[in-house]
Amino acid sequence: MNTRAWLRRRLLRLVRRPERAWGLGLILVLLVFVVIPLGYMAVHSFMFDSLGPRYVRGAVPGELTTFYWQRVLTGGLARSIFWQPFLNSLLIAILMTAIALPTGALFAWLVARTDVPFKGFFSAALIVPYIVPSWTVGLAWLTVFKSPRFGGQPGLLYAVLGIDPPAWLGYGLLPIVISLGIHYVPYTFILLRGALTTIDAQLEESAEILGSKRWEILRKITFPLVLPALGSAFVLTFGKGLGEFGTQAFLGLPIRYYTLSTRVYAAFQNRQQAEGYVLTLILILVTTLTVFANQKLIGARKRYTTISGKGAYHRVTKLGRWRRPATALLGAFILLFVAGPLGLITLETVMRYEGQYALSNLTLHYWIGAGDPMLAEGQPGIFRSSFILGAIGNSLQLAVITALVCGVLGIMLGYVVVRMRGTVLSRSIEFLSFTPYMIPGIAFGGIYLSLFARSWGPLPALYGTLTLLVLTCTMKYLPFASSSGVAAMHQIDPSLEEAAELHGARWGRRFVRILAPLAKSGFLSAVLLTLITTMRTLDLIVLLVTPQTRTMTSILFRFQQQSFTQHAYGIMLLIVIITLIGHFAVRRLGGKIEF
Amino acid sequence: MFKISVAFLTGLILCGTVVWAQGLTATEEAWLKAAQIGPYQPEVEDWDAIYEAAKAEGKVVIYSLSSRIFQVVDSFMAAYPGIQVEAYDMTDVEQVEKLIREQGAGIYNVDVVFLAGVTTLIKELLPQRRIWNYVPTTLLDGVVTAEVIPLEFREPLLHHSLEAKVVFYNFETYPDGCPVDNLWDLTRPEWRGRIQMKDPSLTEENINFLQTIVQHADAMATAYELEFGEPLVLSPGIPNAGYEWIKRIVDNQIVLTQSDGDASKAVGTPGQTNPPLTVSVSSSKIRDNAKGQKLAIGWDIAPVVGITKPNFMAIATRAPHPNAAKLLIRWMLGDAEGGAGYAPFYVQGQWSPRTDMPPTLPEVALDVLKEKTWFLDPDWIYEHGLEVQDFWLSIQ
Repeated sequence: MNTRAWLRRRLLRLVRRPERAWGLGLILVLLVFVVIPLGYMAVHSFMFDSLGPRYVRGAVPGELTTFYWQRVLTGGLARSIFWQPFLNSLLIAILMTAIALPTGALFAWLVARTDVPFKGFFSAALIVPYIVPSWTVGLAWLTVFKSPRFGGQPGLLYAVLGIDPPAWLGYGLLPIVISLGIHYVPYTFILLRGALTTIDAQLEESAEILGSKRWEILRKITFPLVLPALGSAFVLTFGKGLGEFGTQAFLGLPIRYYTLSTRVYAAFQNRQQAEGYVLTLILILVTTLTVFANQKLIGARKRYTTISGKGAYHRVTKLGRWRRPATALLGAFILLFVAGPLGLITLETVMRYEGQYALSNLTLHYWIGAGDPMLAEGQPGIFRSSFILGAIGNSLQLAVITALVCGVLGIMLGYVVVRMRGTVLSRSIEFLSFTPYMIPGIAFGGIYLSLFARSWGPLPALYGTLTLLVLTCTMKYLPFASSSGVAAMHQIDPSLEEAAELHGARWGRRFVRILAPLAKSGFLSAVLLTLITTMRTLDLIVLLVTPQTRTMTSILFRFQQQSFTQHAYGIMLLIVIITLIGHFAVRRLGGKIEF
Repeated sequence: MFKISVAFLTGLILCGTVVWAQGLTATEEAWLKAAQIGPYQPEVEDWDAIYEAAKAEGKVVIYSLSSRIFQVVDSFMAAYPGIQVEAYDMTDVEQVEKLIREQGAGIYNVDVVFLAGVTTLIKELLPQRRIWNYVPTTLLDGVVTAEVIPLEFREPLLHHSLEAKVVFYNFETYPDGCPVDNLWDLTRPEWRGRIQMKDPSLTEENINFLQTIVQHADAMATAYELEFGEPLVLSPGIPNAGYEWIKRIVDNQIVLTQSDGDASKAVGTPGQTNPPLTVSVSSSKIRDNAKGQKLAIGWDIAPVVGITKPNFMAIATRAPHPNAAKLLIRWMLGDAEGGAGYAPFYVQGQWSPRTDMPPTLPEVALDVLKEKTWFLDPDWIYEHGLEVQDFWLSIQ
């Protein structure tokens, strides 16, 4: 009898307070899909890989060894393999974050809180830098600053003004930092815009009534309130700075400026898997330290809640004489870093031969033409190729499903992490859900192929299915969802829920009627970030795609490798257009909350 | 003919012995027997029967290093109705990774692999029995394969074609020919920052180029004397002339690119006054001249203009459609005029192993290519290649 009553109480508690049950479920998912892959890497970093016998005579693949850790950290080559690239990566990450964070924050504030005009347009345009591959800004940079010494078409600076720019202006740290800084402005922009729109302006107004200066309000009230979102933006941006590959290769390799990510990529390219795993684990460690430092710095204040039971309204800050300069600033940014690169890409798709700027060279062949063996090895135009059209369908499915799954998981994660803050469960979930962010895509995909392609325990064989792609993308991009979810849930006062509970509202009802509407903007930013990222994901899925599950990016990448520039750029343009449509759709859903 | 058959049979028996020594699993054995591959390949193959069996299989899956495969798919499906071709266009590393991971997970998905990584293929995948060498006994036009494809291009692995990785120059700027005649010219101050190559740490082929330079260190030393009239003095700690050359082109600020295409464009773009040179860029890039590029190969460079790397075709172990795979491989070897199956690869700067197919560069037939370039040596690269790779890392 006693036991039954106890059981009943437990069960009731589970239903009323589902965070514990959810937490256990989530931890199970994370154990299977994050910890096991991590363990796989850790174990294999201590084993000779298939190239082992070529490094160490008599080594047997699979045999335990500390060879790779020694080689990377202390061996004669450690400086070249690890330390120098590592320092370069750190410098890049710090500097690009220093560009991306303030810029994104300023833009988010302008769009969310002021009377700057064309908000809808700016809102959409400001996420474009993130949709286009990170190296498009780099490409645009080179069209201006490329020195003729590097051959090919020289940059405009030389062609028009006759100035030969020095190598450090064209390649290396400076252009990498600027390109990446601009590319990741949208992270901060999206996350902060979401946070700013949920803050009750009454908090700020009260301060104003009490006689605070506008700057003081910004510093003492607004800033601390958006700090969690800013923290997420910092971690995501900084992490990317360490892990991003494309731009660092594009602008670094020509002058042999190596970074940790180009080293990791090179290791996997050369099938030096164990070395790749060692470097990856170090990458994860460094980023984990950053996350902890971030939590230590702002963690204590993380409990601010901004959505209370009282009515919230949003006040628009009048910019006054600053309205024009602010508009001009946003306009200039978009012209330079959005319209410019996009225009360049569009132009490339209608040129029969690249780099020959003449009217006679214009053609729509690459969009609607039938195959011509003389051009792009006979690939038909984009809209004539069932191969490409099929890929578009797959990409859409993959992105939409992944985004929805991630959105839901993100909110659940956020709920559990915030409501159970301080417990080991909460901390482990937050940490584990962030880890996949640090595993290079190609390694993550390879491990998933090994582990989940065939039937494994209760899991069915997933090889060649869209499910495998969705699973991989979901786990890899969970960090976006979880940081948005955590940021959103932080701002909701638990008293709202408690009030409903006192009135006898069951958990499901509380969630639907209270939490979901309030967390909607966080959910939507998670969906948006995941949607965009999945649309353009490549190295993650490159080993998992089959002809039936090919995606736009997987064929784009191959086109690019084979210098089918027009096809590649055309597909990239389609990705941008599709993502923008997705963005508008998402905004329409969340429109009420945003403005 | 008799001699060749004997050699062939001996080869087969030897193969068989080695295989037995390594212990074939029963499943592999059964697959080989049913597919009639390896030790069970008949001396004369009945292509009508193979086609019938292939129709029953219904399709064939190929991983290919080139998107030109899709033209092959079209011509093959037109020639052999009833067989669908599923082609994946993937880089070497992706193919190897995918094959190993799939087979490790018990998935047997692919039939034919078409790729270049010679060391990985011959020193790893073949001995590990992840792939099998398959040479059709007769080709499309009915000729006996052994009569038109030399043994070195059939064993241990069938060559589909060969490509050189070479020095390109811009013939518009240099109408009188290549501005350099010796690899050591590239270490001279006037070429400082004006040599380009795809980053060798990103691709096996380009590290293979550097490895082969080191392998032929003696020839490099001789070439130095030829160029400068005095013996080479090695820098402190540098073991031989091959390493010395690598060190000096790095000191001369070689520019690394992400792809062969980037390097060849830098060289071949028209209207340049001071264009760079490439090293180790795929010779078949010369087909970009049809798009207005001004690329020419410096064939007469001492000691060589570059290296030659093979492209292979092989059947994956426990391939689900072995008969269709055989048909496809035979189709891709073409005929004496090239043929539809080989047409996409019958371009300048790419060589068929078939002696009866006229070369696309008449002045550089396959035997001339052997004098002008060094062929990759998988044994040497397997033993010493990683030392060169580490050396490259250490001087960055």
